[in-house]
Amino acid sequence: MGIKDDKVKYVARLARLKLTDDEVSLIAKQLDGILGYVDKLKERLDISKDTPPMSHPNAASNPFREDRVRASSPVESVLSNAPQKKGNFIKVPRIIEE
Amino acid sequence: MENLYTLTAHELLGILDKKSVSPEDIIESVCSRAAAVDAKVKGYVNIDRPRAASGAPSGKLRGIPVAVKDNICVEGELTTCASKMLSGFRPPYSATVIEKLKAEGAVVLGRTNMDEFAFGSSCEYSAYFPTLNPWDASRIPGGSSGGSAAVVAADEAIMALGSDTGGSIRQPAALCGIVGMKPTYGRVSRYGLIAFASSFDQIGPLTKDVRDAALLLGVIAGYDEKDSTSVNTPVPDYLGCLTGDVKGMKIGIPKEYFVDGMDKEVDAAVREAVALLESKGAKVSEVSLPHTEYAVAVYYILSTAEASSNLARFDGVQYGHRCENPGNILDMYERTRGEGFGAETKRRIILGTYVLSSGYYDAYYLKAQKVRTLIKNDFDKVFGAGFDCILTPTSPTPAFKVGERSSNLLSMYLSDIFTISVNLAGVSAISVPCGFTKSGLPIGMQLIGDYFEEGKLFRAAHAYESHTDWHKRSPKL
Repeated sequence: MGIKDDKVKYVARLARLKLTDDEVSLIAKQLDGILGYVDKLKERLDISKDTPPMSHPNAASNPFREDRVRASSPVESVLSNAPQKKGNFIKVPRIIEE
Repeated sequence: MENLYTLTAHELLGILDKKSVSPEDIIESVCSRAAAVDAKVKGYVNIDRPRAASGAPSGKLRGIPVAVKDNICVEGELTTCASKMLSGFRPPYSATVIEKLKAEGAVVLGRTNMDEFAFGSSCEYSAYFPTLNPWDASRIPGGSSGGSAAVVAADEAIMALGSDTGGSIRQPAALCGIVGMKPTYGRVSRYGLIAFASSFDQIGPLTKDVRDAALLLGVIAGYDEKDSTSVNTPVPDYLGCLTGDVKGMKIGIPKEYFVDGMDKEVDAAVREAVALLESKGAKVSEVSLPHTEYAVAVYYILSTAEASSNLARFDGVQYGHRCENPGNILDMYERTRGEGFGAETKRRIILGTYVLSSGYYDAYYLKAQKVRTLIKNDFDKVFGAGFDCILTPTSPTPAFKVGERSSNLLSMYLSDIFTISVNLAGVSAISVPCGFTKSGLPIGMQLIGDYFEEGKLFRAAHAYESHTDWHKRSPKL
């Protein structure tokens, strides 16, 4: 089963990524190749139900740091890379439609 | 006197102690060298006007020029991940590793080229230009830390920092004939490293020899409260591990790593290295890492899933590229990202989003996480049986030609087949030069160690190096 162009378009929308039609068909073809390789291996491997999924190499624990007030970065330096700003704010297009 | 730029950090520190040269002399020598040869190598994307370290007259790296991969933040200096998306980005803070370097008197020389956001194994996916292999300009230097490896090999930096998610330090180190180490996950703080796949990424050294790698890791390693995944375990005296002998060390050779289709010269060079270590008293025997063949598939599912999530932050809001005249917010996100990301980055975001999307999550993502456990268990079994390290080739082939694999993705992805399992498990590994092909291309071998056993890797690698001179050869430029 191949990956259709409209599937790639759907995923691109989820990823908030604009693709040209050429990019869509190229990526669909390339994903087919990669997922085909993955599928082939999957068929050969029998995973026991008891195998836990591994999300991280370190043992899971919640590291807390000491709760004390400390200095944060100055506003000017944090805003220095903003594409558009107004006063102490980052400016973006309207989010709520009128 | 020898040109200063040809020396290692530990050699330069010895000369500095005798006061026959100054840190300024070293910086001047390395900068002139970079100015003379970088047009042929194209390893740097930016060279700072380096200032001699003001403080730290007794620092462990005083006056040593260090090149830094373009994905490690240096306050106020351009840091772009070799992407249009971050063109003009100047971080408001420095990565912890940069603070540590500076505290020991090192001089940050410039930013090195890489595959965009570290997605690649050849440096061809940089938005700037491809870096070329100093040993043969028609070939790639490896990747994604190809710029860092190339400038160290070409004597344009004394040492360099890279990052390794699936082999991005070790593979270019092998292909450029230098030493490169991926430390244990959690050994080095990732604070200020622009994230690719957060459960795999580690910063590590690329150096001219093993002693320098031990020196540099000793400086950058350690717990950092700013990185909750860094591990609070003491940093050993790595230089003290360089005893020069391997007598009694147990080295495992995984049968799954000597496969059909591997380059014959690579195979022969690595087998000779095994024989040499054995002749010096190492106890060598075959071991098995049975799930090796699944590593590449598992990696490309999990790493792209993590990447698609990490790269969501590049949306045109707070920093980096923003498209012209956005209509509404969604239009701004989509066009900003469509314009700012290169082809390989787009592919990986789509693949990562796909495997995480509803209906595919269980079949791909969850399954891959389970196989990751099996791969980790493979390593645990070998190290649990008392092996000190596992020896493999670093890359199945020497450096390939520019353009040879950029159109065949699977062949590009498979070039990391020997390095990827290490990141999946989170263990440590080092690549050291172990020979040259007849046509003069470097070959590297990889030593893999258990969690936080970098000291053993340095010991074995240094012992090997002290009986060979591969690491002393330099490309003609």
